[in-house]
Amino acid sequence: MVNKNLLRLFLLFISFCAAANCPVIAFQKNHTFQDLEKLLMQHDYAVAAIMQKMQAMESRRSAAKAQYLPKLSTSYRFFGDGLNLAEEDFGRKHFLTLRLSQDLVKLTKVRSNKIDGINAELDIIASQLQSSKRFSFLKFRKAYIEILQNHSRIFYYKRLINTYEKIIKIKRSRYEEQEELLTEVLEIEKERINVRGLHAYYQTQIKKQKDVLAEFFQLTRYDIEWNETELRHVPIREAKLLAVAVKNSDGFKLNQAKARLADIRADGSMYDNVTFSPYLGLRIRGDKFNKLHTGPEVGVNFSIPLWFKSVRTNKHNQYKYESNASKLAAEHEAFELKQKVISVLHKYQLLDVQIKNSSDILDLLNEKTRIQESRHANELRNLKLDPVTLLELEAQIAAKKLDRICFKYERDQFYYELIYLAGMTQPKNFAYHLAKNREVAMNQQTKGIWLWNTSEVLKGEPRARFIAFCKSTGINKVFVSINKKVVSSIEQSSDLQTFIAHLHHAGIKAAALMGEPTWVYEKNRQKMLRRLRFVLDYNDNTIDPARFDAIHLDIEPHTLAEWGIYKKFLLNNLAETIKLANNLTSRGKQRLPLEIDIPTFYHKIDKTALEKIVQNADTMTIMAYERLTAEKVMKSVENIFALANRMGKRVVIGLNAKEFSEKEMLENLIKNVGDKVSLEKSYAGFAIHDFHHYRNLIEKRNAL
Amino acid sequence: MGEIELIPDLVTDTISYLLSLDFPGFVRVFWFFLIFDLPRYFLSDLYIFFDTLFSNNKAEADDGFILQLRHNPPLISIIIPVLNEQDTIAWTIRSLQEQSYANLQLIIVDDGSTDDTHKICQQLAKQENITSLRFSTRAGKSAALNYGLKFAKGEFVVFVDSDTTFDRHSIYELMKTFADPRVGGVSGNLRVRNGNLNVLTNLQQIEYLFTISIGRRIRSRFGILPIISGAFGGFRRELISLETMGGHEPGPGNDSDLAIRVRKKGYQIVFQPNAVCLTNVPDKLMSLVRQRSRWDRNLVKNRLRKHKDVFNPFSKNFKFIDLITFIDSLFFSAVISSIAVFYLIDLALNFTQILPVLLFINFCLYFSAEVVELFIAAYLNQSARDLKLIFYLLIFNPYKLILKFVRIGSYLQELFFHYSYRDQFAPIKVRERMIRW
Repeated sequence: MVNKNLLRLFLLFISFCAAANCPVIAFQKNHTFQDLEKLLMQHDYAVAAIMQKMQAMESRRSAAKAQYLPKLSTSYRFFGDGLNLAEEDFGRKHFLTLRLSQDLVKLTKVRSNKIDGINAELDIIASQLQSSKRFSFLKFRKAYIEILQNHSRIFYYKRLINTYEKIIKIKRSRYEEQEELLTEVLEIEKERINVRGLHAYYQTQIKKQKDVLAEFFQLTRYDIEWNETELRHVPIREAKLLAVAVKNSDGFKLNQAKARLADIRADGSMYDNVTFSPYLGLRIRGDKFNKLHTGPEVGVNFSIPLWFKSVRTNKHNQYKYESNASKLAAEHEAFELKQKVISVLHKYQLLDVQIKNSSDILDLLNEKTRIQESRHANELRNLKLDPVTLLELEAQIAAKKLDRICFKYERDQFYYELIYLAGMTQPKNFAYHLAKNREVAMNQQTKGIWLWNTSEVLKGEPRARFIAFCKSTGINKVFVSINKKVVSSIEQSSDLQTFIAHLHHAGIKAAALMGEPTWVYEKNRQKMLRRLRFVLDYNDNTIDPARFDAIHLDIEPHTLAEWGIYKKFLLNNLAETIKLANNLTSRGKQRLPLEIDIPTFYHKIDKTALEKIVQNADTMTIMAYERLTAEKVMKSVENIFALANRMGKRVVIGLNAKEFSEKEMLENLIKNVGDKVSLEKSYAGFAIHDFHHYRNLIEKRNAL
Repeated sequence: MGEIELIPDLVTDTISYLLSLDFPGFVRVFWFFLIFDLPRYFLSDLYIFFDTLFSNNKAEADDGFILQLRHNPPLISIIIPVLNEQDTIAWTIRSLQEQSYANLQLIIVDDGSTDDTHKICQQLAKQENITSLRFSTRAGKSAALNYGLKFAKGEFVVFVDSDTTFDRHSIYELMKTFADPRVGGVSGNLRVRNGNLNVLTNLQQIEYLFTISIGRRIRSRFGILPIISGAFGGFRRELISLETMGGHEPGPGNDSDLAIRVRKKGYQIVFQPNAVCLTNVPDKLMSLVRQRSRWDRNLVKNRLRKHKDVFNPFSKNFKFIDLITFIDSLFFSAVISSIAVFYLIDLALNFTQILPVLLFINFCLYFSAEVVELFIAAYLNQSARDLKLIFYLLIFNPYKLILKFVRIGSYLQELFFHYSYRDQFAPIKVRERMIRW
């Protein structure tokens, strides 16, 4: 038995030792708060760092007053979950200390109420501390960090609200431009709102959103006002149709729109399908803005409404509006074109669709009628019309094709041939060739190649040489790099379309290659999504042979300078990024497969993150570089094959042509690895990096 | 002040004793090692070592079956009986899903588990190619296997224990052996997963290396393999299906019984060393003794009672190779264990005064032979990690001696008291209806 007193003595001794090692602040009762602060700054690096950062933020804020938004993303931001740092901060010296202090900030979950002033609170705490007998260093530090955090948060929200104001102003100015056009629509909208208590439906929606906003800003519901007039921007098909109709005073379209409206009146439940954003009209009353300066209480896990997220960066918002406008215009044009085509078909009395009401037109938009139309198109062909009339029809559509405004039911075999006539030289059995080649390609194992400088081989003789090269080396998939150099917009993508159509004609698949290491960061993900959306839009708006077969993401965070320290963090971020990409690509009807490039060593860093990555992709291309023997390659891909087998994904082994001095070496390696790996369930083939090096490797040998 | 002993007495005595012996004398004293253990364990090891050394360079046969396995693999049904395995079943399934073989049907048969196993199985069954079956009350492992067999659709069927995990190419390697149409069943290579847990499991690791990795390889080479472990073995489904052969018999020793029945049909039983699986072994002495005595009882039951027609030259099932198989397994387990006891008695009675010296020399002989054997096993398995087991070889012999006593005891139990019919392997309701051979 141990003597209890002895034990107590021992514990006392240990606590003494511990106390002796603690940082000591010589504190006296007559010290002011400022003195305390100085002492603390000397002794505690975390607090010093925060103070330093606060000062930096203050100075930056004053400098950025004129240009309100671009600076916001580069400055430090405080959120409930700690510090969110800008990308450029990673290189800085004091970043490490900031990282440490972040943990401290996380520890203190602030839920303080509205405060009149920070100084008052500081005074209270200082006096409390002074009145207490023993000065607790840790307590004081905690309190101090809390106050600092509050302070910075208040500034952040002040600034946020300012930006909101400005954004709303910009929006208004945009709206005013379109106001003339849409006045008539507004009237019809109002009429519609009054029908069958739909007004009440809107009202309840708005009430809910008001409550959310009020909670967010610590206000009452009545402090937020709703401007009904802004509802007109709700992207409803009928509204747009009406707008166009009213503008052009086109009787036909007006009738369509009115018929559609009649449908809606008949069935009030259709509103469930309408995309409706009641946030659009909401704003805080001007006199209540001052109230916010006292500091809102925001919970740590507060979910910010979608609209607020989208407003946070100006650039993105701008893009959104631009894309909407361009979409609207494109849809309008496509619709017009469609009408013309239908009229042409009517001329030959082949299209028996009677347009009684708007639903018929909407059906035309659907895929169901596409089959019908293709049947008619076939009939058109089988009738063996005289070549002159056929060519007349062809020329009309071909002319539109040259304008690069593509529409959806161009997919049919009939149209392939027409387009082929217009753009290429061999007229016969295009679709047949395509189907056959694709079938063959499906059965074969992939042999892919990275093509970084797409613009070099995009057209003319280089294109023909590139395709001949692919055919001679047995390459059946090309990862086509997509950037602004290659294609600036969908309207100007004619070269890309013909390039991919040629590839498909030669039995080669095409994947849209894109990626930058910095996309792992949350703030850069929008860039990726924009690029992805572009490819999806491109695919939607083009003909089938010119479509991409897959999306190939090449995000390599391990090439970043900060990888050495933040491996886990970056890998988890990568997983998030790929999940986001997958969400986007899998949204459409025809899902585009997502391929990703990964190196061989991710499993050593974070297995769960790797699992998440594999789960969200369809095909993994393992970059098994710097391994010149089959055994080494096999060893390096083992883990990813295990994962892919389990999750039912495909794996492609990537090799770097740069590392080989002779082409036989590469071919032997491919053969040896292929022999060993062909028993794997998830094995899908090889890929070679990249076209440039591979061509050099092969042509060097041929020259000798 | 006495002299400091640099060399212990035992060693000096040993050397002087060995120098004084002539060859007949040496044979007289160490007859057991020279007659039985040296040819059986040492020379056969060397044989298989050189055999694989020279046949290793042969390329993998590119015949039709292998091509089919790679490009259009036939369906394989894997049957996994489960009893209260909530911790391990997910890992087993996971390792099966990670297999390189593409066409698998996993059938989990829950033998009336009382823990959360059933919930886990139901969760797993949501995935593709996994079916989960369940008995509401326990009906025995054989019943579970047969029930799974009923749902198997594959051309081949693989029986697997629920606490085993596999190398990624194990199923493919196992399947490769079926390229020979005469092969009816294939046994996988069992390794120990919890080998580093304690002394006992380390010793069992050595034992598995010697008896399964090498011993079964030799027997398979000569065509006298009598058993396919229940932990990992594959069969042609048509051969053993419930309609043709009736699946597993209820009761302990069902795995060796099934293998014998396949042999009797004229098919071969083969060991595939590359099809590696890892399994847990008992980590306590008493559970080890219980396991071993069960195995040994089954040997008597299957060889001497149920399938005794193998010894009868007038029976229609008689085949010479089967007879040799039976004699081999009986001789090297039952007879040698008894002779070892005789040898010990012989030493104790005739060489009482120099008994420690003789035991020491015996120990040295066995130890050196086992070291060579360990190196051969490590080479054959391509795993250098096994070499660190060399320290456990120092106590491997006493361990083997203990197991020999266990073996003799269980033979006697089975021969005179028919213990295997009271085995808890099957529940009481099944036990009561079992046929008594």
